[in-house]
Amino acid sequence: MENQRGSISTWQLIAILISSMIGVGILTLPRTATTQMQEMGWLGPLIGGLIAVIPLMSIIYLSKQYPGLTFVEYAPLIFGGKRHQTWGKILHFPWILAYLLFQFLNTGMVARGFGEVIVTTVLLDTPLEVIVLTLFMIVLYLCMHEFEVLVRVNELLFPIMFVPILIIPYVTINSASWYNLLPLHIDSWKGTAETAIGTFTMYTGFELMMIYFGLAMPGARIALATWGGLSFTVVSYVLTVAAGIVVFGYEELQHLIWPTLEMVKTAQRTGWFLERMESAFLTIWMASVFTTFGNMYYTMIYATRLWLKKGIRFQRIAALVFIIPLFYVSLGPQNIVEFFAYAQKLTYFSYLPTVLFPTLLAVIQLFRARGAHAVADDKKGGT
Amino acid sequence: MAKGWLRMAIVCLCASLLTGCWDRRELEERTSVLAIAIDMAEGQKDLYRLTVQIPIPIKIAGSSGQGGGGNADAVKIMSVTGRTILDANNNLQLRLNQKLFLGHTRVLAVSEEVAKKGISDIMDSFRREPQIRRLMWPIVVKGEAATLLKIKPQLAQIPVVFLMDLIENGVKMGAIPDQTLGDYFNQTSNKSMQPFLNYVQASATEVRWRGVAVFREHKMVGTLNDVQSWSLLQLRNEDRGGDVVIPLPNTDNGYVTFRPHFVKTRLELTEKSKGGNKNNEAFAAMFYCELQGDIVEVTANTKVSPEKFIQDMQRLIKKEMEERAKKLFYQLQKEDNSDILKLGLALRAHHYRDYWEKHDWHKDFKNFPIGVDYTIKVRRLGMEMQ
Repeated sequence: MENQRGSISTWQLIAILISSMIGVGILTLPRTATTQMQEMGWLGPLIGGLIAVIPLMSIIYLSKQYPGLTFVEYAPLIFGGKRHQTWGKILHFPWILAYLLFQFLNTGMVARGFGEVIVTTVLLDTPLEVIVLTLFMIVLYLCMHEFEVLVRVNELLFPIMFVPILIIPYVTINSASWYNLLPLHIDSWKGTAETAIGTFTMYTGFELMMIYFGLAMPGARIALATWGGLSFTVVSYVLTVAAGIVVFGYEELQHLIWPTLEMVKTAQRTGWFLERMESAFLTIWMASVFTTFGNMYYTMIYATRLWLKKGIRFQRIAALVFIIPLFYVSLGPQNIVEFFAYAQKLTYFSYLPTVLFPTLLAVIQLFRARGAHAVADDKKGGT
Repeated sequence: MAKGWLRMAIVCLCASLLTGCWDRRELEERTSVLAIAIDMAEGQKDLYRLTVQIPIPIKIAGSSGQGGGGNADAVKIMSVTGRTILDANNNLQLRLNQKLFLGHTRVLAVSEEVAKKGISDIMDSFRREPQIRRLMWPIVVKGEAATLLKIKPQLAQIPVVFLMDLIENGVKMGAIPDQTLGDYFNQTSNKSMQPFLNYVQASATEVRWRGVAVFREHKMVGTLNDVQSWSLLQLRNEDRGGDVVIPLPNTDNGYVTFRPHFVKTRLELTEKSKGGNKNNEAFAAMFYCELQGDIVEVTANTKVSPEKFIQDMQRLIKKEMEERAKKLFYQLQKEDNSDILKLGLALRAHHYRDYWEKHDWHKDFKNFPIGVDYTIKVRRLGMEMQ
């Protein structure tokens, strides 16, 4: 187990980061971003991305302070310091639990969102359970292996993610009405803040880097991977929202349940070789959902394994066991309206493990580093 | 051993999942509807009559060597009534051996009567149904909508294909607006504009594009004839519209025909402060439209030099085009009170704070000053010297 550590390259880190962030949300993003900000909706993901900058900075800082360690290992060290290791273990416990719980719930919601799209648009008579279960099966298979496999899957599927992001602006050009993007106005700062806070959920997935930075190669350029990945995601989100506004206008977007998919459906007369582009889009998009979903679930299981200092055997059994409650979580919302409400609540919860947790750790670490400037005790590795 | 069992299980699972889609439905197990027509049921007030056109694959010439028996039987027309569209759809399903499939529906014909009553209730099911393409064409039909499906055009086997070609070709030539269902949805949702749809008339063997049906909030309020529609196309979409035929002055029954090739339209919104009072700003819109084209027909000798002829013609066409546009504005503003010019969109985009927030466009459009200035550039005279 230990010898596999330190094997993720910079490029693989970028792939994991982007694949974890871009997922189900992109299909609803043009609507959620414009509900309050109207024509200025594209600003939402931009500000939402800025929110993610703070925790990401913290994560980079922490990973540089504790190279080769994942957060389950360095969190007790930071909370307790060298002297009060028992306190550290007690204090970090609720945070890690919140982190794992968030990954668990978010995985459930991602699976449900994916299932809902498929059921409402393509396979109308297929039971939701079947689609969700199929997804679970692949992830379960993934969890049977060491993290190297996950990393390679991400790397492999990563180029596919570029396709829809490049296609969307291309196909929208034909039916674009640029006036829809004007006027540039912000009517309510409250609405802007709410949109930004809401769209931040699109960036969750970056907190997985608290694990993968710890497994990165010693020379991997963590900062480059982070900012490169974040900028790419921000740009693709902003483009998607802008394309949605340009094609439909913000009023019409409020009517559409999966606006991005609808956008792909509208773009047909571009001399494209496919009659029905949405099927192709859904196939590609499935890869991006799978990576989000797989990364989250895998990381949850893997973090638990590291936390409890167990081996691969534990990981396999845990993956199998946790699938069962996960199935119930993803089928928990009784209808589509309830699903969106659950997802909304989860967004608010997400701030605890994804923003507050790394920031808090970084602040404590900052004080510790300053306090014990002479003694370089923070370089201690392993547990 | 355990690993072997696990592998077995995974293989079995995959095999069972890979067999195909859950709700797979083969092409021949579907009844594809090519076009839908919606009328009010005769005699009954609250019932819709839904007519569908279903192609019969085996009767279509060229398919499976059958050769098809003329063009009369290539499609089947069925009519049902229902309280809502889906109600009628379900009633129709009861009479069909295969499942109805709307994924290939290309035309939605609505009778003028239904359109005037308002079509928001009809559109609802089309919004929700994932099979429906946003690229479908909704069309308003003068008189009974079902006649559009029953035409026997002879030039094409399937009437709807004929109609589709007619529109597609018109769109390519810039003479017919490309108003799809998606456009209609966007325009009805958008608070700054109103929708319009193509307006056609059908007889037993023919279909004719008659212009544009103007809507206000899902309700048809008026029509524009072909000439007005072309002006609309030039000002709104920069499409070239149709040929302009004008009587030549000072001749005996002579006409000149101008064919626009390139259209460039610029909308300018100006504000003039009345007496320096900032709160009393008056806005005005001005369309600057430049037409480049050829003279393709002159039926009388004008007996002037070529230089003067070009000058005269440009002046003549400019006057005619501006008159047409003014008639269009009058119709839209005073009679229909419906902004299909996308003027509101431009106003909102450029004058959000100083105009849009202070005015109710739905009321203001009626009296908003709109001007037009055509620039005509006659480039060629065809194969003739004059």
